[in-house]
Amino acid sequence: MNTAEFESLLGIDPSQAGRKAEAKALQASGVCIDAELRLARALKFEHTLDQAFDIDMPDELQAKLFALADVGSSFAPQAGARLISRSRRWLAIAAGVSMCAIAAFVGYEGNVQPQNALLAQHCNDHLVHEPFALSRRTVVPKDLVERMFAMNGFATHTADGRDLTTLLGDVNYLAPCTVDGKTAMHLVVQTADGPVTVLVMPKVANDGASEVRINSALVRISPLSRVQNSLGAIAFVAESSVSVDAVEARFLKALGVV
Amino acid sequence: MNPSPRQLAFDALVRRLSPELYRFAYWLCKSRALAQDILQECYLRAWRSSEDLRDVNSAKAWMMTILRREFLRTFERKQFDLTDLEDISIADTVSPSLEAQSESNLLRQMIGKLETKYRVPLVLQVLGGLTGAEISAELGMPEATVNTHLFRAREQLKAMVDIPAGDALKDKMNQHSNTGNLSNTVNIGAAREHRRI
Repeated sequence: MNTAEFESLLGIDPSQAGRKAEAKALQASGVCIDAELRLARALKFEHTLDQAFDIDMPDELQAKLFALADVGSSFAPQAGARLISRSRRWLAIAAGVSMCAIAAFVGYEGNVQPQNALLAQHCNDHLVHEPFALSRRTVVPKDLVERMFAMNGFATHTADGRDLTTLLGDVNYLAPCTVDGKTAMHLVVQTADGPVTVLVMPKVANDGASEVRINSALVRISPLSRVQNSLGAIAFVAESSVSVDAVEARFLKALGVV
Repeated sequence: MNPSPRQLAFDALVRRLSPELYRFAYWLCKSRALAQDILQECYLRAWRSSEDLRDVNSAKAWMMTILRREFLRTFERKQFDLTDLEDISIADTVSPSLEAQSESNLLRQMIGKLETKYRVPLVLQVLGGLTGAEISAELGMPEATVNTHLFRAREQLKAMVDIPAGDALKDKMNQHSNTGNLSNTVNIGAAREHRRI
């Protein structure tokens, strides 16, 4: 092995067992007089690399993961389900869900456009990721709410000078999320009837205002702009028995949609 | 109601593996929000198919495979438009000095800028502790290609963070030796071995 070959190995995996012995042998033989220094340099870089990769998990994520077991239980395979192969079972579930969704869309509101139907499904699916968010009752500090909206390109004051967060009222949960691969803000607002999930999605395509019922949930979608076919929508998701009207009115007013 | 044995096993899996899996997910997709989504989907799938996990010791490899597939599946299905919040630098509580912290932050940004074909094998090696042969099997590409990608990934990162060479390097190494920082580097192999899936 010569110096160039040794450098290649250091570039591929400097921490592999045996590198130290290789460096020592190369240096002792005079083939590479600074082999050990090269190894030390490579290992120092690996140390920095390890530190760079080391990021903390968000505090609330573990709570979400624990809650998944409860959500997952409702999908747990029944005894005898092994009679159907795994892939077929997934296909069957997927087909069933799609059929239910389509039936629900058509059954509830015949004029729901396909784009909104899919968006409503994504919004409803998203709730599974953060089930514990629905029970949050503490109020998110207004400066955090304001910062999150500002980061997503929203004005923090209305044209007539009113404060966005005041118009929104109390927000009980707030997190940056993705819905259908697009950046979204996930908020939960507690009402007297129950929680309302609000998904603000500045970049999703939509078909305009519509309302979709998926099983026992109601998803109401409003465009974020009055300009036709422009991107951006806000979705309000709640149990059918919960009225989203008041929350919707507050949000649309705060965001300058009405 | 007492939690079922299955629930207890799942909770243990969350406690033991979620920080590492989150890191893995984050460096695959470079977005905190998406990493959270992928990780949750991964655990949900793990819960649903937990009957398939026969050996607890292989849980990490099993979960990483689920996670990587979920990542690929998500990316195959969707065109992402992640105007990210990731520009916020990540608080570094591990690095010993301000200099090292800024180096870590710079490197984080540079890792994020690596092409996926270079970043993924590097993530598998550094975070997953996989060997070249294992990465080759995992990614379904020749080991020589994996090695080339690993080499190029490191070269690009080194060039981007401008690692000093020659005498300047010696000076810096001596400084680190004097402050004991270099001793950390000899444990890299052991740390990687510990992470092995």
